Amino acid sequence: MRVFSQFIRKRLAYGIVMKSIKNKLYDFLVTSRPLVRDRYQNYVCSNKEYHKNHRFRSWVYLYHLLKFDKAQKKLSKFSLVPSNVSNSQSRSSAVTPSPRKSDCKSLPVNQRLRLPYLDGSESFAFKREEPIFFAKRLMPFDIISFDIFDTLILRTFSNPTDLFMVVGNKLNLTNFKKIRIDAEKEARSISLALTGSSEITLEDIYKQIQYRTGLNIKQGVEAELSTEADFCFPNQYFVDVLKILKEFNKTIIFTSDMYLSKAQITKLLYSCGIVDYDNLYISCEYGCSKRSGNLFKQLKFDYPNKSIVHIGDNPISDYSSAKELGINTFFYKNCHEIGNPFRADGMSDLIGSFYSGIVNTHLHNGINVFNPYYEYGFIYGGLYILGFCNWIHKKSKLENIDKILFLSRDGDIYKKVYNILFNDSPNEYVLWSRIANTKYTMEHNKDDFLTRMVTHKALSPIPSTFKDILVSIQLDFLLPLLEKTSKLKGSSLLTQENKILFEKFLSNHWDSIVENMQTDCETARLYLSSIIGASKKIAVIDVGWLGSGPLGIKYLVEEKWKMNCNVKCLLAASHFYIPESNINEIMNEDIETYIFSRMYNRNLYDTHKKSNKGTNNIFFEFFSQSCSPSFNGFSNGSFLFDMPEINNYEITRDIHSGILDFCKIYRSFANKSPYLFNISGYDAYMPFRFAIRDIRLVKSLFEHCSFSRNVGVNLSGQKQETVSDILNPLKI
Amino acid sequence: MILYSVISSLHLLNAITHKCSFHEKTPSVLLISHFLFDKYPNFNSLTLYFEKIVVFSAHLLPKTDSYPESNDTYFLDLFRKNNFSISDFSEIHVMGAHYSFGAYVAHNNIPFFFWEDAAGLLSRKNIVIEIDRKFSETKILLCEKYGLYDGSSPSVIGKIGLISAQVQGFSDETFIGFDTIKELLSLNSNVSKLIVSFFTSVEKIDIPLSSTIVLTQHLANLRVMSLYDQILLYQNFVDYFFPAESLVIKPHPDDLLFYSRLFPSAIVIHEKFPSEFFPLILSNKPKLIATISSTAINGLRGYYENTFSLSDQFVQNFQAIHRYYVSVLLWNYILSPSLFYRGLGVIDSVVERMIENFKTNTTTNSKEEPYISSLYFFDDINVSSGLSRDLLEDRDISLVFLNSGKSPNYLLELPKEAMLQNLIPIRIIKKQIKQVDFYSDEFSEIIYFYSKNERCKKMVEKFEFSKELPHTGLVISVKPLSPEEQRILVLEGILAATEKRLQYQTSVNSELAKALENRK
Repeated sequence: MRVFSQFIRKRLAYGIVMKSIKNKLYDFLVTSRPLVRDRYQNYVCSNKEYHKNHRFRSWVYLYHLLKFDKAQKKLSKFSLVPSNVSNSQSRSSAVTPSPRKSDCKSLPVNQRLRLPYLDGSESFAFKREEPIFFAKRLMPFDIISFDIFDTLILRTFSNPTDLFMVVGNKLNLTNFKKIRIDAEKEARSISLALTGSSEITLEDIYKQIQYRTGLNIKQGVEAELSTEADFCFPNQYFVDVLKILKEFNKTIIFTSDMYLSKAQITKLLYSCGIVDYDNLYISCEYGCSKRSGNLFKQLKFDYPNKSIVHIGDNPISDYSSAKELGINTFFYKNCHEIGNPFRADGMSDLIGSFYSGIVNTHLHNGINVFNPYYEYGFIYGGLYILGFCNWIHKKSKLENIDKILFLSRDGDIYKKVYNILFNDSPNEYVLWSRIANTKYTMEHNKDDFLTRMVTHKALSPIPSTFKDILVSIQLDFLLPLLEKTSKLKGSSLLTQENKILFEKFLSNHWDSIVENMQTDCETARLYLSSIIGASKKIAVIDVGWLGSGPLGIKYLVEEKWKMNCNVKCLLAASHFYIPESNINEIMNEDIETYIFSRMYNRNLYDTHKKSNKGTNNIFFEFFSQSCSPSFNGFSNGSFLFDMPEINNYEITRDIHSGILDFCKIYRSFANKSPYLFNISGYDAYMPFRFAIRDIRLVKSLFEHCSFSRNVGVNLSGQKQETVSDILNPLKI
Repeated sequence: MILYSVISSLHLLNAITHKCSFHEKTPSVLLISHFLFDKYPNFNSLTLYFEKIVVFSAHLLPKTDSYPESNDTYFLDLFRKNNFSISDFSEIHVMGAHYSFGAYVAHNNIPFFFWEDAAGLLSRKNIVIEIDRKFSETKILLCEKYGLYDGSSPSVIGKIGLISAQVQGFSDETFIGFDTIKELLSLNSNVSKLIVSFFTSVEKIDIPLSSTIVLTQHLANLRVMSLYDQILLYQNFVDYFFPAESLVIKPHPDDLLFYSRLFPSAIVIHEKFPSEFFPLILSNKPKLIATISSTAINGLRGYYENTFSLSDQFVQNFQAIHRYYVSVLLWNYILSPSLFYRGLGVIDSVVERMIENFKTNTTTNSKEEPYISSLYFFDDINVSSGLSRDLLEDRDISLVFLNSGKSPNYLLELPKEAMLQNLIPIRIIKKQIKQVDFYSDEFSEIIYFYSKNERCKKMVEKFEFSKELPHTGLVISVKPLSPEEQRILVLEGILAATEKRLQYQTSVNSELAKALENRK
């Protein structure tokens, strides 16, 4: 027994030692090398079963990765691998270095918290050499070979196999992605057993699918090819390089390890507008691949005594294999490999992949470098605004809405995007605001009036005088009365101490206040009537949160003015510091929300409300700010405006530019499979949730910006609240 | 013994020509930059002219504005390896002095002849400095310190260049004239042919009779602008200035633009050689030689009657070209061509050329009597220096504000009433007409016409036109605006100007606040 227990102890000790050695070896070979680590772990995770049964093959792959990594370090000076300049950037940036580099380094990859790029512009951090200078470096070569997929042409999916979900939709087959992946593996195994080569054709794959599903091979092949054509697009980076090379009569060839035939790829290239090349080398046509090196041997055989260079994104097929045969190579790091670590997680499979694919290929193709505000709009705001507009459109059709009213100022960008997407529903931009709403619905919402004009202003870090407040709502005629009856001076500041007195004063003169507002309220009626026209049902759109603006218009149109028109209030999201404040309107469906409310997508509601000490509204609203001052209402028939937040305008333009570009790109691809427009509110919010996962991103972008929480303005001081005024007291 | 050091192809041509013309029998050494070594693998054939060819690294990238001592070590080592000393030379000719060898001789007080970098640059050192600015600020500081851009170094014993290419009023006591083309043509024809054969294997280039040659610049390669901007620049240049010409494009040797694709009907000379060879190599005399701002044209002016160049200012502000064109159209529309125009803050060469084109290509409008006597074009100006009250009140004068975006504040200087009553916005609409190689935007542009002359205002309100720019892929047009549209555009103009001014003030305020904070 003792001997046995000693034996067990020894075995255990041996096991522990071996495990420790294995871990150390793994750390040394894999974990310590980011490029190897990401690719190897990705490979293992994607091929768990295969890895379990073919350990040796995985090690061979690891060996190639290590070789590639070593070569990469040597050629970093010249390769097309984007140079990550985040270190140098972080020195000059106010943002502390990304936790990807420090905070989480000790965690295994799959346990690390994914974070957005925190050191400024993501596209700048991974910028590539400009096409003209890259073309210049190719000039000394006679033959210039390009890989096709993910190099010369790009796909709008962050993982190429995600395209099969769309193919499955076309073919009306459930679980098609898995079926398609398994069929390819099976076809390769059969080919290897029969011919000694794993090169196959698309028809071979669909033979296997036919066996599993009964699908007609031709129908399947056509569906996949047409889907590829729908979602493949030319990489403008290489289109420019090709134009330059052709001007100088270089021989251009394309080389691909692919199951598509030469004719199929020619057609695909044609659909991408790429027609000016000299030759095409496809693995399935030659029965040999780049990965094995044999396709490159063929290339060398066909072009003897010529200097050849190859450009591609695969470290083995496009880099190591060519290099081993003495072919010069340039590595073009895959756009998705650069971008994916910074893309939002938790999204639904297809929208998530499609969204990430668009962002990755736009930011990292090498053509442009964007500023961080453009990227904020493009990466984190585009999907939300596009999804919201599509939801509004669907709602308006479903509810027979005659006209859509986009309320200022958030409605500015909504309307722009809406009109990019749709041309079949009348819509108008309407000047409206919290203060205008407060003024013209005061007889109905006295509490709202007093809360906004007294309670909130007394709490504001930028104090207002009584005169400021009264003038801003055209109640200056009350000034003499104020001083006479309440002993408050017009020039005194509203404070927590005197707010009760002021509130009492306003209550005492409530009838004359309401009376005084009626002339301007009539102007408001004329204004809104001219916009609503003969519409019998309208939808009023706003970002959120309580929905007071749309509800105010609903009250005015339906109850006060009795305009014979129904009003539907559609909000991006609903959330208020008093949770139950609009619960009735939500339950009565007077208000409907796209992303979340107290009743809908509750986990998002809670995240939004609780994280970052409740400041997320501010950062969310930066997507829909506008380059115009806030509307203050009417005075003697004229429009009144607040002080413009001029210092935000450039930023707003950049954010909008990013949003609009995202929406245009998304539309151009989704038009081919319109169900991709069905973006759930949950998915639409995910990029923003990702952006606020680490407050440093939004804080660094917006802390210097103006952001007014309260209606009206500090007229005498002409001072505006900034984001840091709000964040600092909260110690954010 | 004579020493020549050269950086570019033009320098090399100058060195060979100078040697053949003035020092045919004198032994000489050629220091050739590594740039040329890569460019001319046949450089050994230069031994026909020089006893010894030595390749040197021309890079000069100091970390500070102090002279890098390693440069001395490098050249001493280079000389030692090639068995000569700098004191062996009776004459040293430095071409491209703002590189490593120029710095070496200037730092060590070795007397040398300073050659201008290209024709006319002796009196335009800023052009060279601006190019260097893209690469290294410290290099500029060092070269300025040693006088290597304009030959002001005390070690310079003579400045050699083309006198006719210098700016007006240029004079220098140590100046020595050298006209490359003249010297080349004065050589024995066999010698000149031999020189040409070093640079290009082509003996003759066929160009059509009466063609226009466009000399391009490698602006994107120099990082002066992006590739796309350079494409748009040349598309605009051709569409506006040579719409119907038989075009021959001679790209700069380092220019990588795909001109054959962009201008399919043009002949593109792909052979790389200095344009100074034109008189020797072209089959026909061109009708016109044009460039945006290439200095190569300076050397050709003496040999071709018709040359045309714009300016570096145009390179910086070429996006305003539609505004220029519409302004000149207005001039043609409301004035007789003989009448007066004046530009303030505009690029005169662009306006003058466009006016010239109108004079030659269109018949004069049959206006019995012009409504006003002169038209002023305003763009990038400071209001206080340019816009006087008299101009605003004079009914005989009208103003066009090009409003190209740099200084829109002048609109705010107009009296408010005058703005609303006398300012007429003209909206230039841009419409895309081709899909491929389209690099323009489609945003409308607004210029403003100001006049107190009612007849003239009415005429301008009706002004409309349309022009196709086939290479750019745009149709630009102007259509009459309704009174409401006019009012909105005037208000938008005022708003944009106000915004710019407020932004400026906000930035000044925050800078002041920061300064005050720092002082505390």
